[in-house]
Amino acid sequence: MIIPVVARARSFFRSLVGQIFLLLTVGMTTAAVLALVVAEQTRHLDFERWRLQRVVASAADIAQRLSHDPVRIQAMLSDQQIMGARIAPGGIALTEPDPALAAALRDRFGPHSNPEAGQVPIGLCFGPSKADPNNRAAGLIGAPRPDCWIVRFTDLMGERRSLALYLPRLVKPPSNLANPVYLLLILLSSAGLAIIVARFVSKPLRRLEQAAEAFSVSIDPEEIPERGPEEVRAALSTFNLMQRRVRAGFAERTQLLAAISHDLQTPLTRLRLRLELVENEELRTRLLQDHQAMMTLVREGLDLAESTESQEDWSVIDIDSLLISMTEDAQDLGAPVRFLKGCGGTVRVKPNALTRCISNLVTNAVKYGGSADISCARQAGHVLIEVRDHGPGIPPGQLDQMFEPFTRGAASQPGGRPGTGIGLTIARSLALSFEGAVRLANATGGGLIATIDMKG
Amino acid sequence: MPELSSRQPRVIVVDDDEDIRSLIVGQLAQEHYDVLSAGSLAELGAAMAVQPVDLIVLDLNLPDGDGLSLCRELRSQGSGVQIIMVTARGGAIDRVLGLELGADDYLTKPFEPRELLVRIRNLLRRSRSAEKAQQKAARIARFGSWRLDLFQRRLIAGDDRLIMLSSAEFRLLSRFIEEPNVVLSRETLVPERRATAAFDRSIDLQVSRLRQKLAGSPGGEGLILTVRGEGYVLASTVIYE
Repeated sequence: MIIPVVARARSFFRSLVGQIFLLLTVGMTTAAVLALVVAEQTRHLDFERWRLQRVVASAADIAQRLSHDPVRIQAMLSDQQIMGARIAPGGIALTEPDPALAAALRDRFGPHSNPEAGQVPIGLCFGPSKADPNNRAAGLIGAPRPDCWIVRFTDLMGERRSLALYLPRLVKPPSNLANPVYLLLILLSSAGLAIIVARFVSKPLRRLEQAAEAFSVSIDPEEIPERGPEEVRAALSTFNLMQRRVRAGFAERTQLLAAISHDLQTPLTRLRLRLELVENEELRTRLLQDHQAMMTLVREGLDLAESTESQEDWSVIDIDSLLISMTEDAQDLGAPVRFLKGCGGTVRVKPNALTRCISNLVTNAVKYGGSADISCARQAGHVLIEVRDHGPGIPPGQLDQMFEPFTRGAASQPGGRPGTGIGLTIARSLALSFEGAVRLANATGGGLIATIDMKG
Repeated sequence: MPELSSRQPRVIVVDDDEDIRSLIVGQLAQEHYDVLSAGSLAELGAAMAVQPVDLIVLDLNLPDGDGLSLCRELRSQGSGVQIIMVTARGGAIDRVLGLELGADDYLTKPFEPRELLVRIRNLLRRSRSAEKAQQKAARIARFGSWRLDLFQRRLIAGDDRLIMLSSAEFRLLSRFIEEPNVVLSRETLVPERRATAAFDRSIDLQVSRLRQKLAGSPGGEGLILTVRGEGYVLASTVIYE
C-alpha cells in the first residue's frame, strides 16, 4: 500500500514536472513567508516608535506646563489630577533603561536635560494602591492595565524632574504569521501556480518526447505539429527536420538496395535459363548452387528493401492461429518446429509483416540452432512472441551486432554458417513496420531466444 | 476455347528481354508446344489477331505498357486465355493485384525453368469453364459467417478478425468450398495421399483442427459435418464476391 505511493512520489519528483513543482512551491512559499516576516518586523518597529512618541509627547507636555506654572502643576501632579502623569515615587531604580526613549527625549529637551527613561512594572508607577487588587469591578477583570514609564530629566530651570507617565495599554494586533490558515493559503496557492507552470513548461517537451518515441519504434512516423512558444517551435521544427533527413537517408539506402537487387533479377533469370543448356552434369550442379546463392541474396535484398516501406494495412488477427499454422507449415516441410504455448486473443498488426518476421526468426533458429520452439505470452499490455532454439547461442557481446546486415555470428565458427546474414535485419525492420521490436537473448538452459515485442 | 486435343496448345511468351524470350521459347519448344513470342504489347496484339492463343507467359514490365492493364483488358473483353504473370517485382501486393486482375498464376524472376513448365502444363490441363472463371476472379468466398480470402489465404471472421490457416488447412478448406454441400471422401479431399487416405488419421486431425478454427465465429460449429463411412461435407452455400 505505502510502497507504491512512495515509488510514485519518487518518480514524480524525478520528473521535470515534479522538480519544477517542488522548486516553485518551496520557493514561492519561502518568499511569501519571508515577505510576511519582514512586514511583521516593520509593523512591530512602527508600533514601538509610535508608543515612544506618545511617551515623549506626554513628557514634553508636562514639561511645558511646568515651565509655565510650576507650582500649580507640581501640586496637580502630586494630587494626581492629571491623567497619564504623576510624580514618580522615589527610590525606583531604572532596571531596564530604554536608550531609544532617552534619545528621543534628548532630541526634544536638548542635551543638557540628561534624560533617563525606562518602562517599569505598573505597580511601581502607582505606588501601593488602597484598593484590593482582587476586588475590582467585573469589567476590569482581565482588562489590560496601563503601561508605565519613569522619565527623568533636567528642565530649563535646572530642576531635575522625575515623572511617571502611563498610557493605556495598546494591544498590538496579533501577527498573521503564526496563523495556519494564512500559511496553508500561501502553500496552496504556490502549489497550484507551480503545478500550472510545470505542466505548461513540460507540455511541449512531452510532445517532443512522444514524437521521439514514435520515431524510435516506427520508420514512418507522423510529423509533430509545430506549435507553442518560440523556443519550443524551434525545437520541434529541428526534430521534424532530423526525422525527415533520417527517413530520406533510409529511403535512399533502401532504394539503392532495391534497385541493385531488382536489376540483378533479369541477368539471373537469363543465367538460370542458360544453365539448362549446360551439358556437363557436375559443372551444371555447381553452377546451379552458385546461382542459388546469388538468388537468395537478391531475394533477401528485395525483402529488406520491401520491409522498410511496408504499405500493408493493419488488421486484427487471432495470434495463436498464426503461430499454430506457421508451425504446421514448417512441420509439413519436415522442419523441427514446435508450438509450445499460445497467448490467446487478438493482436492488431500488419499480418504479412508479422508472418515474415516470425518466419525469418524460425528459419534462423532451425538453421543455426537445429530446432525452433514457438511460444507466446502477454505481459503488461505487450505481446511477446518467443522463438527459441537449443543451439550454441551467441556470445553476449555479439548479440546487438547480430542485427547488422551480413553478420553471421562468430567468423571463427567451425564449418562456417550458410545464409546471407540479413535475416535478422529484415526481421527487425519488419517488426518496426508494425511498431514492434526484436530482441535476442541467450536462454538460461542454452540456446538462443529471439523475442518479438509488440503492443497487444 | 479451341479444342485442345485437336492441336498442340499455343503459348505466347511476352518479355522485353530478347535473351530471356528466346531461352523460354527454346525450353517450351522441347515440350512440343506451339510457341510464339512477342517483345511488346503491340506485338502481342498483332500475334493474337492472327491466331488464337491458349496461354500467355506475360512479363509485367513492357516497353509500351503494363502487363497488369493488359490482363484487365483481356478479362473485360471476356477472353478465356490463360495468363501466367512473370515479373521481377515479387512483392505480395503485385501478387494479389495480378491475381485480382485476372492472371491465372504468378511467378517471380528468377524462376526455376521446370517450375514454369509445370505451371503451364497444369493451367493448360484445366479447362476454363464459365463458372470457374467467375470463381477465379473472385477474391473472397463467403460461407456461413466466415469469409475466405482466396489470395491471401486467410479466414476472416464476422468481426473482421483474421484467422491464419496453414497451407494444409487452406487446401482442405478450398476443396470444401469448391464443392459445397457435397459429401467429399478422404481421397477427394487429399488427393496427394490417395493411396493411404482410407487409413490416414492425419486427415481427420486436419479436419478437426479446421472445425475448431471455424467454431471461433458464431454459427461456425456445424459447418463441416462428418458423414459416417463416406467423408465430410461443408454444409453451407458459398458466395463468391
